[in-house]
Amino acid sequence: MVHCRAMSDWIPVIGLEVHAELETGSKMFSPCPVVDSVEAAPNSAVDVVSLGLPGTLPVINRRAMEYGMMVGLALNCEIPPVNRFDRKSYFYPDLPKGYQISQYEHPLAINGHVDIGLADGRCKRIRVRRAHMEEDTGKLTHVAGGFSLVDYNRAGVPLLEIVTEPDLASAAEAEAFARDLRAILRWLGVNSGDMSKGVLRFEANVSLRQPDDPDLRTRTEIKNLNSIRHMTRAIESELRRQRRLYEKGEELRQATLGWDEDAQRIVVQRYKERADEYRYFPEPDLPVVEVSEAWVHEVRARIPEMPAARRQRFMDEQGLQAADAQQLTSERAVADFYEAVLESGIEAQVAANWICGALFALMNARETPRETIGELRFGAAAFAALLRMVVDGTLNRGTATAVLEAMWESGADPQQIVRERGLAQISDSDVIEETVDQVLAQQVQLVERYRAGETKLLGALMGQAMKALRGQGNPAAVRQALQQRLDV
Amino acid sequence: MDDLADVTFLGTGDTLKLLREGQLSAVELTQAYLERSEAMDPQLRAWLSFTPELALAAAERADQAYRDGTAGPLAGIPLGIKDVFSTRGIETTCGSNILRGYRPPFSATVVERLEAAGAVFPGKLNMDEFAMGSTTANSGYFPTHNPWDLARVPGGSSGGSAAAVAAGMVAGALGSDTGGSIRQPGAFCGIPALKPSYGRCSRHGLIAFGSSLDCPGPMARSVEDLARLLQVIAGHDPRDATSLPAEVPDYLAALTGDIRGLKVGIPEAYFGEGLQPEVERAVRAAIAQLEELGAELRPVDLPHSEHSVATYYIIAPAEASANLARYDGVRYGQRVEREGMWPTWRATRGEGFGAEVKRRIMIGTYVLSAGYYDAWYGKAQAVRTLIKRDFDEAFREVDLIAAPTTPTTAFRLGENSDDPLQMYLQDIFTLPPSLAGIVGLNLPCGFDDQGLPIGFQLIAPSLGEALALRVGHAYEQATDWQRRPPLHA
Amino acid sequence: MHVNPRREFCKLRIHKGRCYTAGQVNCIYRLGSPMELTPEAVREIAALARLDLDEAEVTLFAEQLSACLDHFRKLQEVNSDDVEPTASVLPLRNVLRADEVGAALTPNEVIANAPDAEDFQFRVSAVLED
Repeated sequence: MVHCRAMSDWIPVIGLEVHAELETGSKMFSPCPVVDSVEAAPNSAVDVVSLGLPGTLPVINRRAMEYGMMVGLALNCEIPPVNRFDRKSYFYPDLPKGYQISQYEHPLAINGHVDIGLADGRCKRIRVRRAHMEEDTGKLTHVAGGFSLVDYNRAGVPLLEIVTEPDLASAAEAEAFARDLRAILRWLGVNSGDMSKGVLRFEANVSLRQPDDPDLRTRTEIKNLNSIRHMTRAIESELRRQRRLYEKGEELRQATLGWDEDAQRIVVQRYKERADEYRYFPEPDLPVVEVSEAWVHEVRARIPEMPAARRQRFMDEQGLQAADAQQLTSERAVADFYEAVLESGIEAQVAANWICGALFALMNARETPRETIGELRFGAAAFAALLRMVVDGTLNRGTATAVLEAMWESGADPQQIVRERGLAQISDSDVIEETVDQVLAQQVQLVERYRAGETKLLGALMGQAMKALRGQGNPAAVRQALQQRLDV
Repeated sequence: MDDLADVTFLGTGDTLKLLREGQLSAVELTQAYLERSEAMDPQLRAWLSFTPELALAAAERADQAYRDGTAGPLAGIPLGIKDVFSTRGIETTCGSNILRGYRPPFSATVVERLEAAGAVFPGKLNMDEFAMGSTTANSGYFPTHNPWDLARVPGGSSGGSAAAVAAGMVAGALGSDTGGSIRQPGAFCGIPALKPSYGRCSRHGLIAFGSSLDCPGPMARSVEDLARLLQVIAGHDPRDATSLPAEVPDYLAALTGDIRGLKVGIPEAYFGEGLQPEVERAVRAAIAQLEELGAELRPVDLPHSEHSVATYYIIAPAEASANLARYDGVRYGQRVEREGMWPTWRATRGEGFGAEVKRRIMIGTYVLSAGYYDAWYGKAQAVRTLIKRDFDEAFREVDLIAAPTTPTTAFRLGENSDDPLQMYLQDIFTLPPSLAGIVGLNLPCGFDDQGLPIGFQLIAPSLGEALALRVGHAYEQATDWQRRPPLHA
Repeated sequence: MHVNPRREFCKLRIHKGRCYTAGQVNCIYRLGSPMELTPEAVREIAALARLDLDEAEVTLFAEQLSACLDHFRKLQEVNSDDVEPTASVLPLRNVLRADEVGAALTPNEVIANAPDAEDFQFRVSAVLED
């Protein structure tokens, strides 16, 4: 008789293997340009090295190594003093040399961790086993007639492989880790996180265990996941599939799986009958890379303040609310923009209000992603100049929003816009008093009701006065003039 | 020049003088070499591809350069290129059918440097397929014959280069040496031939066999000519991460003729069983000659050299098994079409590679397999350390080492061809310097009873090319072993 | 311990940082006896190297490679305890290049030597699992 166990006895054991291309100008081992491999014409970014022509040799791209070290450090890894490249041999048409230059025994980074936030507000530490440098492969496209076409644009693009320990205990944890990792890569500016283009790729190793299992159970590997959402659903589905198998008393076969998003189900790509035989050996074409403490120190200094730390600083030092600090650190470009505005002498809360308010509203309306905040037609200095006119009373809120829109369209300097359109706020007391007198003379009824105690009518009178001033009156001055006359 | 027949055997220094002085044009010189090739090559079969029109065009450019005063150090000198080197737009097969028709879009650094120096290339020279072999009979196309005896092999893998140089078809040639492929054919064909230190000459464009061992190097008819060629091809190349960033000394200036006081080590164990008696006699006589020239002889011990065959024939095939994985009929070269991709792939490699290449791919694949790595590859790497250490220690006592280049003179075509192990064991003297990455210079030192050339080897520390050439030059000046083979056009 | 996919054979045995099946580990110590590569082993290695061999070659290679490996077995007698392996004789370290972009080949040049091409891409029979 098969012993039935309750569903809740099964504990998911999930590890992720992440491949992140690094956004260098040239490839990992040659000066060949790196291009958008989805957009570029086939085989338009291929040189003799990335084509694996006989007699070509690799030379390591320093920036790729440093980007890899930055990621390793941001993931709290150690950077071992000796880095070595190895050849990993396997045959596939997208692999030009019949081996991939990778790192096996001496990876770039080891023993790190990421603390992810769980739904219940707690934190969980996910260990990162290693991160190593390698080169990406080309791409195969299947075409009619039983053929595949090979494009080597992507071959040789620097690739960082990040491997976690199997510390993830649910699809939700895997999702949280993936989102955090993606944010870190983007924040470091080493990877766009665009999974649809394949520059960031996740693979999940999934198994189940019972609390009293003496040994590990068979695990499966899910590949070709095109988004974090797909990954989450694929893991959920695979966990259900494994559970059902065990509960029916069946065995799980070791396999490589794929995810069919349309059918919302796991598909078996191949069963693994035996271990892969990669015949790793040290790459004789590349001398070892020794990473000195000084080099690590230098690279660490180049790592920008990471989002969590920056958020905390915005709250502690600048007194921002958590919600504002969160929004301002959602993208590194936003935080940089915000701090540049502060550097122009704008008070923190004013800058935060206007960025999270009017500017984000405008960016949303124009469908402009927040990470491009640094590429708008106007920069932080011009934005600060706008806010300065609000603070000093030259512009009121509504006019400032209109000026912002004008800046968006033309990129013109805010002072110039205000000058050209005659939008400067009217603070001249003679003009204001004259206008207020006219309004009060016209609105006799409102004035009487106000004086009879309906003081909330001040707002209506303000509105009339501002309208007469074409919206450019200094609200405080207008209010003061009205009250002086009404409260006599 | 009236007697063009003899210009092909002039030393490069003399030829350059005639060219500079306008007594000989590069076109005349090239024509003389081309004529000699046309006369000799039907017997020797040294050229894998022969490009006389390109050579003549280059010769015309060289003549123009002499007129313009812009001639490079080798302007107008016809040199042969072993087919292991990539040559832009010119078929480069590495002696293999799998690369038949392949025209690289770039040239090897050493070829570029010779080209920039004004050299003229009449074609590409035959070799053992992928530089694997010591006969040039492993060429995927046809064997090359020894100019001293057409029934014998010229050695290998740079056998086409050695035969062409010895027969006066070119003034010099580029070879490559992984475990003896420059020195052994040099010995078999009776010419000086230099394996420089690993990293001295760029491997960019040299089709890889054993990446941690492969060395481009010059083959010529005098030590002075070797120095002229090395001067041009040596030096750092940023496209090869294993190229040494060391200064290139003036190699010609090093040929002082004076070797007094130099300490020459003699590894007595190298003169043991299996050495052809005439070879031993000739090498010992050469060593005595060095002593006569003022060198001091000292015994040295290289105890791990006896393991060099096993060590080399694990390491080189291991690297080769990966280096040759790229020949799959997808991007370049020949494809043998079958139903389905994997059957096509296996047939392409099964039919495209010859037996020796397949044997070495098999050994290499086997020794790198997970279960066997430590026992074979790991062990061989450790023993390589010991072999290198032996030399490091020896060079604390002596300046250079003298030893035989090969156990015997050239073998008959077909000899040992069914016994790869016997063939590998013949490499015993050339392998240790290869594994240590140091200099090995073959010098002709006599003839055996059948009139076949004998060579001996000067072994110098890494970057000791100038020293080896200096001693080789002094020896050459004092002797008369550099002779013309008995070939008649 | 959850196994690294790259080291999935680790679940079997780890010996000096590498992973083996129990049989393979035994082999390492079995090298004391004469070395023989069976025709079956030759076929397996050829499959790994993607090389078609005919039966005559399998028989010949089994014999020749066994003879070679048997000779190489003598290496086991060398005491190399505490000897660092030499992967490269070079004294070089940290040979890196700046991230500078050079020229690519044109798509025409890329496929110039291709046995089969379509739309500037290399054409192969559709890849099916072996």
